[in-house]
Amino acid sequence: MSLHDDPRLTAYALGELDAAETTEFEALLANDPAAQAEVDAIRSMAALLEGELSTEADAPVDEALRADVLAGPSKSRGWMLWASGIAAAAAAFGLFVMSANDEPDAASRLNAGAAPKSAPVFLQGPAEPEEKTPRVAASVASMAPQSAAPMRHADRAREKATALNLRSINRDSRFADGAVVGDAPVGGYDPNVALPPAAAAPATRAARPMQLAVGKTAGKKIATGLLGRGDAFNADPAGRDQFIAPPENPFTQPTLEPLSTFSIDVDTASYSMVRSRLNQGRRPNPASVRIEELMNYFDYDYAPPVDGQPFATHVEVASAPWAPAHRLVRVGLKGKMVDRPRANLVFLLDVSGSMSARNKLPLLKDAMSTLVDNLHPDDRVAIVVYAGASGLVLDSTPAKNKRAILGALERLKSGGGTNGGAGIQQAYWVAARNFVQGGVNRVIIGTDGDFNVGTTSRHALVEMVEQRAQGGIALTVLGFGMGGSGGGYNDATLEQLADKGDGNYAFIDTASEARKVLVDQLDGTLVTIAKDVKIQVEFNPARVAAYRLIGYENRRLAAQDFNDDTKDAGEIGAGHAVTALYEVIPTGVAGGRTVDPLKYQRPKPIDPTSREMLTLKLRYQPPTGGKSTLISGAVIDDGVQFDAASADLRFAASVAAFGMLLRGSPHAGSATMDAVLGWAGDALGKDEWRYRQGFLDLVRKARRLR
Amino acid sequence: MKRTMRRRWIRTAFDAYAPRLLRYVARLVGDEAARDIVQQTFMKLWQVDPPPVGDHLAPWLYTVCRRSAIDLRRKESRMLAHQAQLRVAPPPSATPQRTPTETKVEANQILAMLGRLPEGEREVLRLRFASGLSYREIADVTDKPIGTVSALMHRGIRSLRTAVGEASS
Repeated sequence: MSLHDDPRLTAYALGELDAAETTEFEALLANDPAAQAEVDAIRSMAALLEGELSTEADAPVDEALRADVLAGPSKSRGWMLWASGIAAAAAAFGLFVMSANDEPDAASRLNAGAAPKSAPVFLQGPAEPEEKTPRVAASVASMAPQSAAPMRHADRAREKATALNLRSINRDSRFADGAVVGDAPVGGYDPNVALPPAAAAPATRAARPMQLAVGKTAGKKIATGLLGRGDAFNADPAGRDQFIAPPENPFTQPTLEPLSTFSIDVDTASYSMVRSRLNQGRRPNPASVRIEELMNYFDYDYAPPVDGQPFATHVEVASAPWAPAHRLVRVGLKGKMVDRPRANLVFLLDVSGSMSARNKLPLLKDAMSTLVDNLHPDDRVAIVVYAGASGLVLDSTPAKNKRAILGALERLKSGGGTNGGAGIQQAYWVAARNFVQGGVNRVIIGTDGDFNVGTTSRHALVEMVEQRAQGGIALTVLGFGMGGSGGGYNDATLEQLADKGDGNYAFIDTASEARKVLVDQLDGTLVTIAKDVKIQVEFNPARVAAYRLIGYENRRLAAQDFNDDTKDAGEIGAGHAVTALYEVIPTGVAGGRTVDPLKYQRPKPIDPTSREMLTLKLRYQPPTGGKSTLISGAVIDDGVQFDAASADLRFAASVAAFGMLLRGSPHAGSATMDAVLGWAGDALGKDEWRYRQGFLDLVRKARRLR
Repeated sequence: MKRTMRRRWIRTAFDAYAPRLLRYVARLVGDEAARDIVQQTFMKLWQVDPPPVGDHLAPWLYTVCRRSAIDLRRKESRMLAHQAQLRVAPPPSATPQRTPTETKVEANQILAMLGRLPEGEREVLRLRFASGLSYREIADVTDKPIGTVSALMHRGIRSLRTAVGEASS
């Protein structure tokens, strides 16, 4: 029989098959591309229906009705209908009804025709004696006549429906989840399960940070590196990022300070921040502009090392475009390529209304763009969203197509109710379709806890997650903004899912936390090839009147730290490129002397015959730690002009100039946004994935702000 | 359970489900009767002990509501036979605003097409996509075997896809 007519096709698409049935059915699907396409079509139709039906106006819930319900049975009216409802329920849920009172024949009597006299046994309820609830005989008498009202008034003009209150639905859906979470057996009702979590929440929250996935040493280190520095990038508890601007490095005379020492830095977060501000049409906070991170955002075509070295060093010297008399020294490091497992990541993002808070979806988007910036080009990313409708907003896409991924992220908007059940099915489906054998296959849920399993029973969901984990697809859950009164039980669902999914559960409340955790998730995919990588440059006073390290303000080390293996520095990952620029004022050029000559000391003897401009020294430790290795070499300036330099140097210089302009740097010389556009526009190189083109767009946006 | 605790619990349940239940029941019997049926259903929730929790609450509420509605319809069809048909599938109490965009037109068509499906298919689709019930829950609520629910769902979605395909070609 063709799968086309098999109801399992729809059941599978909607996530209704159990684990065994899913396995069996997927085997059939694998050989049937038409049926696979149909699964997608069914899901699209389901999403459309769900979206349409969820925006249909709800019937109005008037306050009087709510008040009546909350007042309890003593105020009930229309009991005849109610009684028949009970009778109906008795058929399906006999055990509830039968235990509702002590009269064994109550249900059958009601079933037989709902004689008014039988009603009181139901109306007694579990009222506490001290509450003095009016007993029912009176209310039955007074309410009975109203039982005909629905019929009499049924044809009245209907009240206008009120608009669906998304916020409230959203909040309310927690209840449904909460009730689901408890896993209480039918007979054992635990009030704490379904009650608002006000009392339980503080304890849960207090415990949450401890559950953060703490990566292995490498992952943690990388996270630290990416986050940068506690001193410059702090996030306050409200989630607002605070920046403290470190002053730019000034020009320094080698006669006074011949050594410049710093740690490498592979962060790129500043570029993401600058980009997001400019895309919003706002000027970036100058303190958030870290030039080394802007430069290191881009790939450079440095040759990888040979002979088993962990990285190759490429130094190039040319004139500075913004000050043609000055020289630019570009130090480029390229980590060796290591085969590492490819990653197949499927993000399942909650875009329901409650996620719009600034400490939720915006944080998630920011963290994800940082993550994408750090992925290997061959890693794959897909995005599935769930809200009132669920759907695939980005099919699995190689990370090198950063533009497509970031574009999909930019377009994410929050709104609608939550239905995670359908979404998670789809996320696993996408992950399975793009499964990387021997790689990292992971579904990552980002939610604020409104994880309404909705259309799928929780038990089936947990089972599926468990089964998928055995099949090699792990689950990570990132909880957002779950502080305050909201948290509680959905936490438990999410945590249980992550637990079964062979994954981690993390609570994210600030941008820095988001980046850290997301990069921790990459623990398995990032391979560190050298750690504590330090650079020390000795300038030759015979050639260099003054020098200035562009950026890396927070990464400067004391000269003596270079040889001290106990002083931490940055890591370099497989295939990573790191770029640093020095601006040098050659001897004989005006502006080199910023400090008066010393009165009591003579400058050290200078070898006037040396053509060497500087000596570059690099020190690194193996990824596992241990004694450091030193590499060094001298650099001679051949007087190359900017126009004749490599596209990589020209592009890095353009980015540096852009950063200086955004910072309002006094060292920007003749640089303008227009000039940057020209320099960078001529230095695009291959730009296979249009990152550099994207940079031009940003410069244009910045230019309009001037 | 203490009454105050139960009240909190009922309140949460009411706020979570009442809007959806009202909409669901209104489609069966109209707004006025729906209000009463939903009220009575929650009154019933006060009474049952132990209360339906977890996975059981939603199907429990829908079952009670649906059976009350069907009972009412039976009663009405006896008393007001000539009017009974009017009440089988009342129009939605409010139609979504029509916007000129392409997708909205398609979406509105979807609702119209949904309205033309056989009642069995329409009901399972609504319970699924408007109320978020699982196959199992729908089977419980509608008192149909789960295989029937599965087949109705498959046919219903198939018909809608075909109808959309025809409308757009």
